[in-house]
Amino acid sequence: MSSPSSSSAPVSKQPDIRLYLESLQSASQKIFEASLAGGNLVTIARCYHVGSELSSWVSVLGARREVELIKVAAHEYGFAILALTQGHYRHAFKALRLVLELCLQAVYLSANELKLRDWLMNRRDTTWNAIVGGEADDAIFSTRFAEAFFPALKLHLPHYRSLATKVYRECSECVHGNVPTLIPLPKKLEFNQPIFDLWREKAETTVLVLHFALTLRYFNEIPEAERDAIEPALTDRLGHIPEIRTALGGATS
Amino acid sequence: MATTLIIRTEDIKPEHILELFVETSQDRKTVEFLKSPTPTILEGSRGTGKSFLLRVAEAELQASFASARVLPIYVSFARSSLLQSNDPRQFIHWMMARLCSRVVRTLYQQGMLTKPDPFVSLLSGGVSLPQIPETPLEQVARQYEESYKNPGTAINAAKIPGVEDFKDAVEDACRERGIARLAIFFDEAAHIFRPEQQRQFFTLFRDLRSPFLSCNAAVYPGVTFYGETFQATHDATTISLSRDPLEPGYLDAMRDIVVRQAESELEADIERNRDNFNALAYAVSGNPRLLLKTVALAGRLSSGDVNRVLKEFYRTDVWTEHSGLAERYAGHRAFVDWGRDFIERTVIPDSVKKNDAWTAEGKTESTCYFWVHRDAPVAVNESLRLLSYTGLVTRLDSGIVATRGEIGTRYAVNLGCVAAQSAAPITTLIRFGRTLAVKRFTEYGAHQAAFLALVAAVGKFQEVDISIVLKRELEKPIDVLDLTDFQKNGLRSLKILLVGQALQTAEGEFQKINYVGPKRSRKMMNVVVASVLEYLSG
Repeated sequence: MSSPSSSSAPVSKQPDIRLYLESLQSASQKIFEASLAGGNLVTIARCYHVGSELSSWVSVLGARREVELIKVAAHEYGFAILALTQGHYRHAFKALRLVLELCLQAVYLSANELKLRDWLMNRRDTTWNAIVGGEADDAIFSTRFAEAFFPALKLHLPHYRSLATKVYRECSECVHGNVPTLIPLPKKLEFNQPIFDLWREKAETTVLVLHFALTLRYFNEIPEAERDAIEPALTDRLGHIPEIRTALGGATS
Repeated sequence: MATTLIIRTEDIKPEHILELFVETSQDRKTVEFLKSPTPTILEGSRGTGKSFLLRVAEAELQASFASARVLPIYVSFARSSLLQSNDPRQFIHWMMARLCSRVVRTLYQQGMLTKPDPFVSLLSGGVSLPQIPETPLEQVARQYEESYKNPGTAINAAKIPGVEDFKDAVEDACRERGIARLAIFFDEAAHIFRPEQQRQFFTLFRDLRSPFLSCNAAVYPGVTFYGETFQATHDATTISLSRDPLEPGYLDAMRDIVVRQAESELEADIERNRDNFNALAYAVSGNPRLLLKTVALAGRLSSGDVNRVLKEFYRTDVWTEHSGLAERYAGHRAFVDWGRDFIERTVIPDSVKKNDAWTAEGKTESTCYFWVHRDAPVAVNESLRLLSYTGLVTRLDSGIVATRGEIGTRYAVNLGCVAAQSAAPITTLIRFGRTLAVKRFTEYGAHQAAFLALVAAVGKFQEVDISIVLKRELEKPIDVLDLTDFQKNGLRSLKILLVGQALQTAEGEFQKINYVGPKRSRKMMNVVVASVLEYLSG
């Protein structure tokens, strides 16, 4: 492929911009290889599987309006993995924050039809503080919220609220671009095992929070026969919480 | 302080299992068995550490997967009690669906299978992604999942894969992906009150034998309905998880179990109050969950605290779970209540009396053991089975010769329950540690007076609100009973034609039949009672 040139003798030369981006792509390709080598493959497989877990929630939640947000979250999660394997670490963390935000947003709005419709029509913004903020109003980790949907989980609210807040704040660092204190992003486009592992850790926390929030809100509304679709994920991720184990029919303490 | 101890394995996140593992030589042997290709059955009361050891074996295999290529799969059947269906195949399908979905999920997480996810696939924006066809294993998993979803609708059996199809799919998956075998760990495998589920589970367990699968299961003592094909001695190695308080190293191992989770303050308390801690450790008779519970209750482990906990916990709290069985399984109420009564009013006072007398005589022996004649009413065995499920008694061995050459089964009562009756439980327990002698046991013969109350209660099922299944059993003719023709004719001559009538007849009545004396009438009654036992709490 050649580009038009002003000289009479055409010179076959790649445009600089293309060469430049190709060199970045080739760096990304090297990162991709390293991201899937050895034990990292299992990490990626485990992380990728989260998408299926979100899909399982989508399938049991049926035609609720807010499910669209969870679908977008699953989609964005796919982008996060892609970014991670290519070494676009900042974007991988940013996407993770978006996934967290979208799912918690869905849970939050599901409890208020008017706010949900407003939001879907772009007539309303919600803030992170409204969604997660302490005991305030109708925040999702508030006692009031748990009492309405899954009272047995009240004991665990402060812990999951704190996890949600922390992981959101940490990932936000990658959005704002201020001086990194918690997520030391590499300056170069190269594979970085500690950051790769850090992303996995943050993803696991995010997924824990998501499953908890979705369980808190929806579990008791899902018919017994349909719970099998989400049972394996819940047993694996949240089986250490006795109240959830009991709800799934397991042993009680 | 100590109240943060984790008491149940399920409360521990899988990644922390190995940190909390206290390895005794016996536990190491058990874990090695679980990891080996030999099918292994782990038998233990509630809280003895079955789930924990399964999780340890799983974690170790997971850690060595890159080199050993044995992939562990943990499957819990705890939810089986929720399954209500009249279709006997439904339970098999449910078990297969659970197993398949676990296998497939593990392979996904290992990166050995990939599921095209609809929302993630949107990423390609119309560009075709590589087609990932459903593997036979995923197909089998999906078909099982669909098979039991709608219990009301008729299932087209031809569409449901068989166990052989599953084994073939596993073999293919293993060969293609360089996996040596799948090691399956079934937890809460067979429901204690559902003999039919037990039979189906063990039949499946046996059918799953393949060079590419090794099956292991954790069951409660008394889960003994193996079905027609499974033979306990040939088809699996059974390991009993009762930790003997008398074996060397017992106290150290129990101490380590607590210390692994303890903060330094508790560790120091244990060190300062060694005897008090040891008393708690003896009291639990080898049950780690009870130990963690009682240590958490005992404050700083002072003598006052520990004596208080021993008295309160072992006189009342420890029975709560057992008595709770009567609520959940109403058909078994008579067995549950009598069992507690028998231990509290007969066995423990008899043991205490013996121990007191021996102490007074300056003998260095003591007992918490008892022996029940093999011809005791079958209802008594059922009561003892339930007591061993909750861990209040431990069945030690059968075929034990007692006075006058009579043969029976030997049990141990939980030491805490025996000691809780004394004024100073700590002293009593420490003394047990030095003087218990398993050859010293109280004998309860075939016609023990204490058994009469239970025998009298058993015929009364019909008065309570009974299930349709039980009613059907009671209305069956006596021909279905495993008795000789001569005995059946004898019953007919007494105008006993139905199983329900036989059940309501006093045992002594059977002795009106020619050649039937006390021994034979007991055996006949045991056959009658055994035939309906499993339908009591269906």
